[in-house]
Amino acid sequence: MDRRRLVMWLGIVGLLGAACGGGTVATSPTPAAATSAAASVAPTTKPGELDADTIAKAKTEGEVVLYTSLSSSDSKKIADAFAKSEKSYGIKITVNRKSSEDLVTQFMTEVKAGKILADVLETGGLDLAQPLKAGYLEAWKVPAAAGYPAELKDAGGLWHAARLGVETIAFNTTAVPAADAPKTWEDAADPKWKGKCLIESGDVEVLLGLGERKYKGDMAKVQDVLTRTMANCTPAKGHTETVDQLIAGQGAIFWGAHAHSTEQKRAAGAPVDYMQTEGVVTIDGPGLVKGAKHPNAGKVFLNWYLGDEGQKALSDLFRVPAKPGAANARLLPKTIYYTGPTLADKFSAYQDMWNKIVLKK
Amino acid sequence: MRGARRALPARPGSGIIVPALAALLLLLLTAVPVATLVMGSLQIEGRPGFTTANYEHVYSDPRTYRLLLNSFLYAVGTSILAIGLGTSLAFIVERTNVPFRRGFFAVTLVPLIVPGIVSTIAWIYLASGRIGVLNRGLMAALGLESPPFEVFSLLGMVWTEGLHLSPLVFLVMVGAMRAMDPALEEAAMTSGARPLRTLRVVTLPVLVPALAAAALIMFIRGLESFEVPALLGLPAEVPVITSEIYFALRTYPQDYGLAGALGVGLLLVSAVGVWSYGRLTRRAERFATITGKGYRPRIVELGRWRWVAFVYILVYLLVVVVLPFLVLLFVSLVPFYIPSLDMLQKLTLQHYVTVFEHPDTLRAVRNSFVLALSSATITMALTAVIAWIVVRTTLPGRRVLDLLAFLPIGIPGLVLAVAIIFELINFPIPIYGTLAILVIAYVTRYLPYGMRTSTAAMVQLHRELEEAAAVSGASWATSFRRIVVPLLWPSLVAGWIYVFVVSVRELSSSVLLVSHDSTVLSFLILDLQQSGQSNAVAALSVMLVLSLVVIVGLAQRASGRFGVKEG
Amino acid sequence: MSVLTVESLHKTYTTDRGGVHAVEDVSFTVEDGRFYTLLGPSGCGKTTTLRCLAGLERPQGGVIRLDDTVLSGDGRFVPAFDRDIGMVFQSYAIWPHMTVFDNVAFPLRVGRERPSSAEVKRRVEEALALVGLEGLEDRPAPQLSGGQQQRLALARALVRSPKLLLLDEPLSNLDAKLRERMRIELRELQRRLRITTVYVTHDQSEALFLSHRIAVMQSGRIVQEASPRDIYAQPSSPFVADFVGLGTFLQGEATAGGVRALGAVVRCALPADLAPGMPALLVVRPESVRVHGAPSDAPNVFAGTLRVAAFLGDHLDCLVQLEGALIRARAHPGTQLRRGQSVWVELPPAECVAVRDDGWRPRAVTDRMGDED
Repeated sequence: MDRRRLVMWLGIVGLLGAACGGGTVATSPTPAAATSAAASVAPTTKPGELDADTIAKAKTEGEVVLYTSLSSSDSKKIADAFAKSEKSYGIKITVNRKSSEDLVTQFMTEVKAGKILADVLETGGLDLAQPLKAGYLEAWKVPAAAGYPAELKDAGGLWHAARLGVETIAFNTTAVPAADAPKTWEDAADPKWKGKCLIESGDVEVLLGLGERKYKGDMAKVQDVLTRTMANCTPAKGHTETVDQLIAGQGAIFWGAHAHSTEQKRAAGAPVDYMQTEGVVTIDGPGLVKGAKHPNAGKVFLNWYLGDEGQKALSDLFRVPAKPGAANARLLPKTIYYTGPTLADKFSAYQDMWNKIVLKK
Repeated sequence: MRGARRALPARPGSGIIVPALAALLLLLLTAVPVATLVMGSLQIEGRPGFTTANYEHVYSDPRTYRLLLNSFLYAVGTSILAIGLGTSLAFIVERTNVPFRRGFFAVTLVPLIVPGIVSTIAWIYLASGRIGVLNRGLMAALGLESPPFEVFSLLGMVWTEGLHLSPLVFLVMVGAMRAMDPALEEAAMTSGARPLRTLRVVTLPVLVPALAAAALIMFIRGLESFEVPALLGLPAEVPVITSEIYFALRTYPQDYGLAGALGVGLLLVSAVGVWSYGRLTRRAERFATITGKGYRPRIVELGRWRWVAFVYILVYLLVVVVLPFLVLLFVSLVPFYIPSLDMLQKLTLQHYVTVFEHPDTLRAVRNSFVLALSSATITMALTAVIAWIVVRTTLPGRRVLDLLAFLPIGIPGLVLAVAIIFELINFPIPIYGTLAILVIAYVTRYLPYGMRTSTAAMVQLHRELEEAAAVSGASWATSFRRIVVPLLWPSLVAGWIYVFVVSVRELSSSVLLVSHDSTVLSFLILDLQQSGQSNAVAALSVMLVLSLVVIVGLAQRASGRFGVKEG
Repeated sequence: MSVLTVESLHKTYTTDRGGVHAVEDVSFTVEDGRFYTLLGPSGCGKTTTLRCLAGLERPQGGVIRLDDTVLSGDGRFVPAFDRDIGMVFQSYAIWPHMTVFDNVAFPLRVGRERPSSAEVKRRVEEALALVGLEGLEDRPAPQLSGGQQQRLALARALVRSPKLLLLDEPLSNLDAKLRERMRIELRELQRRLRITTVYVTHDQSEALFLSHRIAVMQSGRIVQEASPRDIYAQPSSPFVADFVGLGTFLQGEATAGGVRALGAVVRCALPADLAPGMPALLVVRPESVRVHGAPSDAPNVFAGTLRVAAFLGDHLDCLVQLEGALIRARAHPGTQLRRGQSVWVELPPAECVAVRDDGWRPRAVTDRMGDED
C-alpha cells in the first residue's frame, strides 16, 4: 500500500491562481524480499495456528492490504479488531472497501494493468469466480478453517468462506399475518400476492441457488416457478431501498431480501419479518492474491479472520460468520441452499432466464 | 455580425502556448477513454480480433429501439419541465418586483445539493400510488377512489428528474437575463407591445441561445441520469439505455462490448440533441447581445400580478423544496419509515449519531468539497479556452476540439473509470488512489457541460471587445484574463456552479477510483445505503441542505454588500 | 397637432447607497411639430427625463401631458405600450432574431390599430424608404452596418406615425462622417414630417444644428431653455456658456455699461440678473474676437502678444496673451500674422456676453493649449 497512500494533489487552480501541492505522507519501508513460494505448514505447529516461519516473514513485511466488500464502517471495525489482536503480530492493515462488483472490477483492472496492490481479496463467492478463472488467486489452506464444511471452502485452498449472506423472503407484518407468511420459496408464486410482491432486480444468485440446489438443475421447473412468481412481483432496485419500501407498505412481501439487514430493521421495531424455514445462502470470503507484495502478512490476516477472533468480530457486527456455531441462530434458515464460486459456470443460463422473465428483455 | 472569422492579432508566444496546451490536455482527457469505449465495443471478452457482433446484437434487437425511445422521451420531457420551471422562476426572481425576491435565491438552490437517490426516494414516499402521502392525503380530503399521482411511471420519472434539474436551468437563465440589453424590451414597449407580448416576442426569442444551451444540457443530463430510471423506471417497466448499460456492467463477466455498443447509441441520441441545438441557434448564435455595456436589469412592475407570481414561487418552493425536505427530515428522525403520524412518537436522533460516528464522514465531506472546487475551476478554465479556439479562430481542426469535448457524454462513468485506471495506474507520478485521479475523471465527464456553457457565452461576446484589447497592446493571455473572462463571468459562474454540483453528486466513475483516503460524499452515501442505513442517508442529506442554505445565504449577503446587484 | 407639456417632473432613484435625485422639478413645453433637445453632460438627468416621457420610468411627481391626455401624474400612469410614441435608443435595440421587415412591422403588428398585412407592407416600405433602407426588408437585422441599424431604428420609431418621437443619443455610436450625414437627414426628415420630437444629447453642435429649442440640463434641473441662437448668444450661466460652445472666460465685476476686467472696463450689455458690483464672468467666443496687426480706435481693444497662430483651412486659430488673460480667437485665414508679434484684440461690445459668476469654472482648455506652445 506504500505508493498509493495519501498523495494529495489538489489543484485549486482558478481560485488561488496557482496549483498547490498537498503533503505526501511518508511511505512505510519497502518490505524485504518476499518469498514467492507459499510456505508449507511446519509439522511442529499446533492445529489452527500458523508456523513460526510465516509469522516471522509476515512481521518483516509489516503490512497487509485488504480489499473487501464489507461496508466501510464494518470494515473499519474488523480492521480495528485485527489491529488490537495479539495474533496480528503488529502488522498494519490497510482497507480498500467497495461493493463486490466495483471491487472486483477495480482489482481485475489493476492486475491487468500490471499493478498488484491487494494482498487479500474478500468478496462475494460469484464475484470471486472472475479472479479465480483468471488465475489471480493463490492456493493456500487456512489452518483455522480446517473444520469448515466442504461447501464453505475450496478443496485446493483457493478461497474460504468468511461470512454468509442469507437471502430470504421478507414480509410486512402489518399486511401479512404470521399464518399467511410464506414458508417456502414457491409460496411467493401464490396468486394471493398478485401486485403485492417486490423483487430485487439483480438477484440472479438466489435463482441460481434455488435452481441448482433445490430443483437440482431442473430448468423447466425453475422457469415455471419464476414465471408464476413474476406474475405477482414488480422489480425494484436496491436491497435497502426495497426493504424500506416494504416496511412503508409499497409491497406485502419482498422476494430476495437480505436476512441480516431485515433483522436490523426488525430489531429496531419495524413491522417486518422474514421466512426462516428455507433460504439461499451466498458466500463471501477471502482469497490470497497471487504475486501479492505481502503474502505472509496476508496469511496472518486470513488465519485471524477465519479463526475464533475474526469470526466473533463479524458476529458482533450482526453479520453471519461462516465458522460452524459462530452465527446468530435466528439468521440461519433451517434448510440452506448454498451458492458459491463452484456454481459460477451455471450463472449465465440463470442470468438469461432472469433477464427474460424478470427484466422482460 | 460583421467580418469573417479570423485569428486575432495576438503577440506570438503567449498567444499560442495557452490554447495549444488546452487543446493537448483536451485530447489526452477525451481521446483515451473514447478509444477504450470504441475498441471495447468492437471486441468480445476473451476472443481475439475485432468484430461488429456487439453492434449486430444490440441494434438488431427491437428492444434497443424501445430503450432509445424511452431514453429520448424521458430526456425531452425532463428538459421541457426543467426549462419551463427554471426559466419562469429566473424571470420572476430576476426581473420582476415580486415580494421577497432576494430571499428566494438561496432556497431555490436547495434541490441541487440533495443526492439524486435521496430526492427520488423522497418522491416515492410522496407520490407512490400505494404509499405516497400526497396521494393518501388527497384521497382522504377529496374522497377520491384512486390515487391522483403515480410516481412509478414515465410521467413520474419526468416529474422527479425535471424538478430536480430545474434549479440548474434557473442558474443558467439568471446569467443570460443579466447579460441582455434591456433596451431590446423597451423598444418593444415603446412600439406598443404589452408586457406579456414583449416577453413572448422579444425577451424569449433573444434568450433563445441561452435557452437552447440549457435545454441541451438538461436533455443530455436526462439521457445519462441513472437514479430515477433505476428506482422508478424499473418498477414502472420503462427501461432506458442507462439502466441497460448498468446491467451490462453488472453481469459476469462485465460486458464492456455491450456497454460500449449501447454507449455509442447514447452518443448518437445525444447527437440528435446537439443537432437540434445547432439548428435552433444557427442564426441566433450570432446575436452579439453582450456589447460590453453594463446593464441595469429592468424590473418589470407586475402590479396586482405581483402576488400571483409570489404564490407561483411559493408553490414551486413547496413542491420542489419543502415537501421533499419534510419527507427527508421525517425519514431522518424516525427509526424506520412508515407513512403514519404515529411515527412522531418514535422520533430519534440515532441516524445523526450514525453519520457523525461514521469513520469516513468528515474526510468524505472535505474531499468532495476540494474535488468539486478543483473540478469546477479546471473544467471552466479549460472549456473557456477551448471555446475561444472554436469560436474565434480559423485553425483547422477546431471543430474536432468541439467534438472531442462533447464525446464524454457517451462514455458511461464506469467505462471512463476503467479507462482512466488503465491509463494512469502506471503513471510516473503516483496519482492512482489520490484525489487527483478523481479530478481527472470529473473534468473529463463534465467537459461537455462546461463546453456548452462557454461556447454559448463566447458567441455572444462582441469580437471587437477583444480586438480593442489587442490593439491596446494586450497579449492574448491578458486580453483573455482581463476582457473575455470578466465579460463571460456570469455564464462561467453558472457553469462552474453546475459542475461543482454534479461533481459532488458524481458516483458512477467514483466508485472505482476512490481509495480509503480519497473517499467522497456520494460514495459514502452509497456505502450507507448499501449497508441498509437509508435513514442515515436522509440525516446526512438534511445536514447538507442546511449547510448549503447557510453558505449560499452568506455568499449572497457578501455579494449584496459589494453592490453587485441593484435592489 | 401634438403638444407635449411637462410640469414639475420629479424622479428619484433609490440605490443601495441611498437616494440620488435624477430629475428635479423639470418643466417644459414642446410645441407642435417642434424639435426639442435636452442637452447636458452625462448624469444630468436628460435620459431619465426622456424615459419618463416614454413611460419606461415612473416619475414620483409632476405631470406629463400629450395634447389633452395626461400620460403621467394626477394619479395616472399610462404605460409605455399605451403611449402614442416612437423611440430610438442609443444602442438602437434592433431585435437580433428578426429581419429588417419584421423589426419595422413590429409596432404595427402589436399596437392597438391592427392594419391588414397589405397595409403593414405598404407602411413598412414607406418607412424604410423614408430612411433610405429600401430593398433590405429580408435581411436579418444583425447583418446591417451601424449606420443602417440606426436608420432601421428610426424607421421602426416612425412607422406608426406617432404623435411624439423620442430620440436617446441616436447618433453617438456612429463615426464622425456618418454622424454628420445622419444629422442632416434627421433634420430634414423631422422638418418634413413635422413630428413633435424630443431629442437627448450631450453634443452641443448636434443640439444647435437640429433643434428648434434647447433645454440645457445640469444636475437634474433645466438651467436654461431657449432657441439655439439665444442659448449660444445669451447663456444664462457660465455652465451653459461653456457647454454650448468654445470661449474665453474673463473674471471680473459688473459695472454700469460693462464688466471690469483686463485692467479696464470691457463694454457690453448686462443681463437682468447682473447688477453693478456683482462678480461677473465675461464670455468671449473665439469667432467674435477680431485680431488686428495695428492699434484701433474701436471700443474694447486690448494690446497683447500672439502666442499661437494655427492655420486650419477655413480659419486661423489664435491664442493671444493679454495682460492677465489668454484669449482664443478665430481670424480670417488670409490674415498675415506671426507668432510672437504684437497684436491688438478687439472685443465688439455687441458680441460680448456677461454672466453672473456663480463660482462655476470651465474646463481649462485654453490654458492647456498655451502650454503646448
